[in-house]
Amino acid sequence: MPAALPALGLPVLGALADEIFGGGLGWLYAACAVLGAAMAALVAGRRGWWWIVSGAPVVTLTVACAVDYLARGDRYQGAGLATQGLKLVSGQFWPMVVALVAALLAVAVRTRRTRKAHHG
Amino acid sequence: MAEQRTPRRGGARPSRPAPLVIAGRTVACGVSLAVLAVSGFAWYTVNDLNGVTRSHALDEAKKNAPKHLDKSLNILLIGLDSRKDMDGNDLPKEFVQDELHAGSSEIGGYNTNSLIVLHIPPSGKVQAVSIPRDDWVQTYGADGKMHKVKEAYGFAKDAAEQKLRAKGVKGADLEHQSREAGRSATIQTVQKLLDIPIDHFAEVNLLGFYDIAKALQPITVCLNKPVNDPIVSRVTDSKGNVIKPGGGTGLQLPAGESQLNAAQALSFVRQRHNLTNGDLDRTHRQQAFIASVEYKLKQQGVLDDLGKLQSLLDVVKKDVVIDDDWQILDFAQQAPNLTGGNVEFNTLPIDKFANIGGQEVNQVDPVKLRRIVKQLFGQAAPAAPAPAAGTDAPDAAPPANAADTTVDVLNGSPVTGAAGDESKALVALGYKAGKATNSDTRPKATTVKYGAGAKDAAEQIATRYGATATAASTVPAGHVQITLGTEYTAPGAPATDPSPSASLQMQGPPVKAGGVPCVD
Repeated sequence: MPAALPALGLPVLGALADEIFGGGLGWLYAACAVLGAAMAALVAGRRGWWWIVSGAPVVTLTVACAVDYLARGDRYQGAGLATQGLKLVSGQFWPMVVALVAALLAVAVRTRRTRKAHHG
Repeated sequence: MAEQRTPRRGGARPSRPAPLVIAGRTVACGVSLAVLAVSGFAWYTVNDLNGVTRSHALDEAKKNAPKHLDKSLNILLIGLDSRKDMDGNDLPKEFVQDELHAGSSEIGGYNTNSLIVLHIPPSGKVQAVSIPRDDWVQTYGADGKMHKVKEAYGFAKDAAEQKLRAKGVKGADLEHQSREAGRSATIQTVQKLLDIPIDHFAEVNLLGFYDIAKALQPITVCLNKPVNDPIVSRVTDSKGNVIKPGGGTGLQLPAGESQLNAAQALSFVRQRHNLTNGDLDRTHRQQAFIASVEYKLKQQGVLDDLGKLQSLLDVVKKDVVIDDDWQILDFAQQAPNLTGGNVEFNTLPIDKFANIGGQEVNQVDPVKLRRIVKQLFGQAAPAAPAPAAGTDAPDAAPPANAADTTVDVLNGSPVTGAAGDESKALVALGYKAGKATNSDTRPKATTVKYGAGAKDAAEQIATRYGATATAASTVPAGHVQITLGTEYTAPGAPATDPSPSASLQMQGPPVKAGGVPCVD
């Protein structure tokens, strides 16, 4: 499975599900973003890890911004651009951090397994 | 991004990646860190903005709140005249007497000496109405008796305090929890009195007011006449009984504009002696002061700048309590709408002064107050007939079968798009959307007709337009047909008359924001 699929697909799916069933980005989106980053790191090649790990926060924020803007773009008019933007960006801080940590953990797990396999 | 493959030679470690790959990785990491840093700063900022003390006091009131007829917002501003801090400790005696000019820590209790409902419509002028503190009203959430509206807080707090004390709650917890009961009672009482939903509230106490004024001083105010309000000491006998009540704030100001420091500002809004209309002039002072502060905030760009707003909140957050649903960011978005002369303050009328049980009170007619507030907030036509005395004003909430009723809106008014807007507003209330189109006729007044089975809904909708619902065989069953008349103005939109209060009976002239208004 190409790493891009979970890395991008899961966050997008989570965001859409949250918008449809939850009325806004929430826990489902955050969970999918974290899961997507971890799964991508698990299936990616060694050289892809750089991009998966460094991309996790960017993907999480970008998908959130895009979906939220598409769902309620009218709120981002005039004074709303600053306040809604600030609210959205601040709300994605912890999902981004956790997605990054999840990707790093997945990399650590795979590195450990590889080392064990080599030594074992 | 494709990476250059590095050939392995005889099992040796792979060589360093190509410079382009290293550069790409560095940029990716840099972007990632930058995104994290920006988001982290945003998170910190939002948390800091929302770091004001929160309260659950709105919960009880929300259970019984009347429904909104549009997307407006009602905010109750509570000015609590307490000489205690948030934990129930007396403020330092010297500070209360010398700096606040507010007598001793023993007097004052927990009176809500300033109650202002701010109505922010989806568009148009913001209306602020003050409820005179001595209005004699039915209280809710307190002891269920008639009291001055300012006393609901104290009675509810006292009752809660006794119960909590019996459960072993003490110290700061006792104060925090019992104040919650006071806030809840005040909100419920105001909500019932005016029959409007209270969406948010903010409470500030004496110290909070002082701190806010200190952060903003000097504050320009304007008086129509010079004022001299000497401090008169309270006289007590050897047993501590009050022989002669004290009073006065020590305020001395000339006519015209003056620059006030924090202590003078407090005197300005608290003075009630040596004023023609006593307490009611004090209410106008409070309104004028808020208008002056708002003007200053606008001039300094605080309301348009989140950073400046955050700095101001840092100063006052320890003294202000707001409800736990209120997002400061949402308010920051609306704040610019509160400036530039877009707010008008009015004082709800009293019927007469009276003495009840030895107390000087304002007698009010709740039905009249509700009607005035509805008209002022654009939720009923000015021509709406007054309900008979002793009966409640029509409830704004839609009936239980609203979802089964289809509303057809025909626009016979000169307002472009009114049918669509009204249709959306009614759908937001739970009705089913029907036709929204132009009318072939141009009736002067808005008419509401209904088909079989839609009488209840039609009567409810009719209250929105100050009309009378009539049955019509031409309207399909389950439908209500509204034809907007030429006199129609959108609820919440600016009326033809720039001041909706102009035709309403209010207590004194309105105080208009957008500058430094002059008051008595």
